[in-house]
Amino acid sequence: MRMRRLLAGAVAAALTVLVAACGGSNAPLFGPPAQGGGGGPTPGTVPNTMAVVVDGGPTGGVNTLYATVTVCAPQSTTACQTIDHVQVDTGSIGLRIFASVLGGALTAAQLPQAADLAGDPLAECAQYADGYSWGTVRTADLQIGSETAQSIPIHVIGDPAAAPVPASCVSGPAENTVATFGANGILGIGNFLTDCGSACVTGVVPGFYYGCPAGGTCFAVALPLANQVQNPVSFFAGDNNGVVITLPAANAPTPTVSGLLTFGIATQPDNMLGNAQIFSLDPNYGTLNTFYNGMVFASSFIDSGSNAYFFTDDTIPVCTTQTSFYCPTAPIGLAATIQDSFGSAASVPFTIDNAIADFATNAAVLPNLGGPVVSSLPGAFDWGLPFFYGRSVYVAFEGQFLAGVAGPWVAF
Amino acid sequence: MSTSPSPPSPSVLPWSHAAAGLVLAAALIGGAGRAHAALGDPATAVANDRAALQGSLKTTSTAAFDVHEITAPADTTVREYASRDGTVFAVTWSGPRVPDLHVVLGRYYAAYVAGATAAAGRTHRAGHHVLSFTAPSLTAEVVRFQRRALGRVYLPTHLPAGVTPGDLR
Repeated sequence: MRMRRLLAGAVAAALTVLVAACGGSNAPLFGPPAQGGGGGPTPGTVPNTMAVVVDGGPTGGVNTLYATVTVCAPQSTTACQTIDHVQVDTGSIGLRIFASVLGGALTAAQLPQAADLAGDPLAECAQYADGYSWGTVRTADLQIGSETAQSIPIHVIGDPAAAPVPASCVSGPAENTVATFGANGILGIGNFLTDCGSACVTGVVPGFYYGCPAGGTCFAVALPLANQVQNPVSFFAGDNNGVVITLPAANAPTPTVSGLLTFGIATQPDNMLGNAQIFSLDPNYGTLNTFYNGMVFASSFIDSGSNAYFFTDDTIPVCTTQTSFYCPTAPIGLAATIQDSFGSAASVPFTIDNAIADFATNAAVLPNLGGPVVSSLPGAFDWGLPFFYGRSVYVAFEGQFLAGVAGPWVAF
Repeated sequence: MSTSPSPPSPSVLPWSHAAAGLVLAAALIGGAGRAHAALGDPATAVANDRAALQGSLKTTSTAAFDVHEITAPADTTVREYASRDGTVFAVTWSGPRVPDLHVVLGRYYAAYVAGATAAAGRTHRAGHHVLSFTAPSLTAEVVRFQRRALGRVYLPTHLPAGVTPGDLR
């Protein structure tokens, strides 16, 4: 398997030289032309990078990566709103913005309300670990950097036009405002193309999509893939098969850092894999394995939307007042092995600081922040944003076959 | 927890609140149906649910507790841990989505939401993909990532002797 990967890598390297020599032609070399992200790498013809930043954001958080997104009414160049401090989250799918950040040149009502298969207004519930968001599904054009995604379903959270939230959505506190969520929106650019996927196509899954007939209550509905909230990058004309997040190294609490979000993998000279090692993800869940302390955590994940390393270790004391985080008396050096189910493995060293000491610096970049996580089987090890400092992390979408490996995968 | 349950009857749920919750759950969930005794309910409610809902049930036993595992196709697996006195003292879930917490947590749903809400008020939050908190009556740990949901909620005062949270898988 490794030999196959090495050969594939060599082939990919040779072919990417050809792509560069062709001057970025749109003719794909690995499959049929990409439509919304499927097929092979489609080179883009526009600049494919944009700056991203880790700073305190609207609510003073830590290790939260932010980007700027412009939302427009479909086919409009004037009914547009540029929204900064949208959280870049490889742990979710889809653009979600808070209705409260609209209202200048663009109101929520100017974005067409999506409908379910019965023709009723479509609303959505987004359930996080720590709460939920509720709002309408609307159609918009997005501009992210120099790339555009046209007529894509997005989630408008806290939309006053939304019907009352149904009981099956309420899985914790409401996060329908910037203050309760901690950002002006979420840019979900994980490995999948839609947030729910085939489960919501073939059945009614409470906690996702709801039809809200006028004057009635909302009820959960099945929804075709094309109508679900989409991974915006998959809708770009090119550079649409994945993303790369590159952040500078940080060894100590740092006020802010700036990095790069690159669209596409192996589509332009600036997003080649280089020496990065590929790890396949569970095609249903987007997870992989972590080997730590003699145990395998089979539901592990690499997630720019988590603000620390979250893992199970009963020997590390939890902070007494900030119980989401670890408080060793002094920084501890640790290591764990990230591995996929095909034998690709890498040992990753990391350090865990005393979280209270780190918070006292008031810095937004805390590279050694860690905390506990549930240990029930199959067990999770969350490689959050600290993992990204000093790395380029590649996120390849499902439905792609890149460098000889079928997506979804990650590489670093 | 209040009084011990009356002798179990196959056709009557001893807790009318739980019965209403389960009927409501069946209506809400429809085709994705599942069978539950909610957290804090008597374990006998699990057997009563299975005929009415579409989940498949598998029970395994250890010395200290029974594990009732309910699985619906392409849906989240829920495990309910019942002590020897017949009370469900813990639930765990693992699958593609958060289960309906009204069903899984039963009478402890409000305490769970209150605890999660209090956690949201912490000075330093853990982001949106993991959550751990201890409320007066329960301890909860939750993970939510892409198409994965994991959770463990247990009643610390009802853990059988010798059982630790790490045994709740």
